[in-house]
Amino acid sequence: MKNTSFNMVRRTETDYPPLLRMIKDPPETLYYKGNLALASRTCISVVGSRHGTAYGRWVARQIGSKTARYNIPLVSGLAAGIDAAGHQSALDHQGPTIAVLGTGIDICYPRSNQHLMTEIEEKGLILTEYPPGFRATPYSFPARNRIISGLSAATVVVEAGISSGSLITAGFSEDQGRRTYGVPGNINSIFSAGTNRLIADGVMPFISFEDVMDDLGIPRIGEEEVLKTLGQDEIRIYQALAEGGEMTADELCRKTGKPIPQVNALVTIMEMKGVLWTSLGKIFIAK
Amino acid sequence: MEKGPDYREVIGQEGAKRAMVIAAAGFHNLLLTGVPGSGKSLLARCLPSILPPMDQEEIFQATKIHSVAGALTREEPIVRHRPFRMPHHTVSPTALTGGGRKMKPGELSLAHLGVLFLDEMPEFPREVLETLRQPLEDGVIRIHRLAGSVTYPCRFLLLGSSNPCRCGYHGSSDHHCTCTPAQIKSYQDRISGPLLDRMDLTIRISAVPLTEALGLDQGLHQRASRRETRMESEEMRNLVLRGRKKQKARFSGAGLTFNSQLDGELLERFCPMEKQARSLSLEASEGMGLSMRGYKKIVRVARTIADLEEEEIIRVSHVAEALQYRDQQERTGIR
Repeated sequence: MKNTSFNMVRRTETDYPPLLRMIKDPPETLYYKGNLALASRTCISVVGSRHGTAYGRWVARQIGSKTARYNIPLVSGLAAGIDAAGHQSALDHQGPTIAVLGTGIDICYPRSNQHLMTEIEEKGLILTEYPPGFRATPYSFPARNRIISGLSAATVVVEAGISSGSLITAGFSEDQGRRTYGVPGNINSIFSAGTNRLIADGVMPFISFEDVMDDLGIPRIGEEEVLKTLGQDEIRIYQALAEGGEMTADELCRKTGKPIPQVNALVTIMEMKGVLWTSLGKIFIAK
Repeated sequence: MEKGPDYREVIGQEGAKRAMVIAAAGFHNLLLTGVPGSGKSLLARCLPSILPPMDQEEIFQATKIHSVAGALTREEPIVRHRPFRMPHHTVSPTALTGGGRKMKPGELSLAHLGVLFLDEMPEFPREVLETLRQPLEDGVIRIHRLAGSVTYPCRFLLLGSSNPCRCGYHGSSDHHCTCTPAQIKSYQDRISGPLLDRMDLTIRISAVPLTEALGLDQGLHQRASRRETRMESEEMRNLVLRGRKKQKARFSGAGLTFNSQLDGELLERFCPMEKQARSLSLEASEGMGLSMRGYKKIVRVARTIADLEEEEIIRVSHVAEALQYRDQQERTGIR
C-alpha cells in the first residue's frame, strides 16, 4: 500500500459518528480515510453473501442507485459479491458510500477489491476500528458488522445463506433498535434461505426502496420521470420487465411480440439511458 | 444442399439464431456461452444449413486443400459444401495447424471457407488456442520446417461454445453454481483477451424451460402462432444470401469478401453511418467501456445487420442491435 496517510477519531470527539456512539459497545477509536462527515448523515447499510446470485447483485445495484439518488450514504463491508455490488453502484451513480473494514485501514481484503477501495477512499469513506497492520481474524469480521449496522438508520440484508455473516449484521441491527429488512427470494434458493428465515422471524421484507424512505420519514423522489424519457416501444419493454422481473431477450420477444432484432436494439438504447442493464444474458430494470 | 440438422429443431432460442444469421452472413466469429443443456451444440451443428453455397472458385480452393491433406473420399471427391470442422479438444497443435513430418494441412486449413467449431472452447489447452490468433488475423497459416516452408490458406468462421464456468451453472436461475469467484474467473480466462478480441459476436444463452419449449403453458392457438414465429433454416438462409449479395456488390475489386475482414481505412470507407448511429456508437464505447477493438467489432457487425436489411447506410437501430452482441463482462460481483 503506497498511501499510508489516514486519520483517527476518538469516541469523545464531536465528529465521531453520532449513531455509532449510541450502540452498546462503540469502538473507542476509528481509523479512517476520506470524508468522515458522511458517517454523521442518515445512512443505509446493504449487506449480503460473498457469492450470491445475479438477482442479489441486481438488488444491491438497485439500492445503490437509489441511495445515490437520495444522496444517502450506502454502508457495507467491501466484501466480494453483494457488498461490492452495492458500493460500486453507489459510486457509478455518483452517490456517497462508506466501507467498514474488518482489517487495518492499510489492508485490502479481498485483494481483488483494491481498485474499489481506492475509489471509495477518494469519493467516500473507509473506516475501521482496527489499527493499521491488523490482519483479519475469524472474529474481526463479525465484530465489524456491529459498526455497519451501528452507523446506519436501516440495514438491508440482500441475500444470505442459512449461516451467513450477514445474519449477524441483521441481529446487531435489531439489537441496536435500527430498522432491519430482508430481501425476499425464491424459497428454493440457498442464497435466500437466510433472508427468508429473517422475514419469517419478523424482520420487514424489503419490497421497494421507497418503503424504506417512508419508514425513515424521508420524502420520496418521483419515479415517473424515468418513464417520461422513454418512447412507446421502450415503455412496452419496461413494463414487461416490471411485471416479469429479469428476462432474457428471447423471453422479452415472446412477452412483447416484437422480433429479436428490434428487442435487442431497444434494450441497447435503454441501457444507454441507464434504464436497463444486462448481465449474464439477462436483462434487468436498473432504476 | 442442406447438411446437418435444421434450425426448426431449435426451440425458443430466437436470439441465438439471429446471431447465427449475422455470423453466417458476414463471416463473423462467434462465441456462444450458456449453461449445459441450453442447446449450444445443436445451434452450432445447424449452422451448415444456413451457409450460402460455394462458388466455382471456392469449390476449387477447398478441394485442393482437402486433396493435399488426403481428406477427399470416394463419396465426396469434390468439396461442394462448406466445410464444417469440429476437432475435439484433445487435438494436437500440429493436427490443428498442419505440418508434421509429411507437411499436411491441418484442421484450420480444412475449415477454409467454412466453419471451425470448437465445442467447449475452454477445454482446449491454452497453447492450442493461442495458435489460432495469427491465422485468424491473416487468413493464412505459415509453417516452417526443416524441409522448407509452406503457406496454407485458412479463412474460416470460428464458432466457439463455452460453459460459463467449470460446473456450468454460473448465472443459471435454477441450478446452483458450486464454483468460487476465483474459479469462475480462471475458467473464463482460458479464452484469452486477444482471442476474445477476435470474436465479433459474443452471446449468452439460457436453457429454455421444458414447459415453455413444449408450449405447455400456453393455449393451442398461441402454440400455433408460436410455431409461425420460429425461424427455420430456409428463412435464415435467405437472409444470409441477401447479406452476402450486398457484400459481393460492395467489395468487388476491393480484395475483400466478408464484412468481418473490414479494418482500418476500409472500415471507414465501407461503413457510412447516419449521424445518430455514429453518435450512439461513440457514446456506447464510452459508456460501456469498449476498447478500440470493441468499437470496430460493433461497426463490422452493424455493417452486416444493415446488409441483411439491404441498407447502404448504417442506421442507429443496426448499431443498437450490434451492441447486444458485444462481449458483456459481468458488471458486478466478481472483482
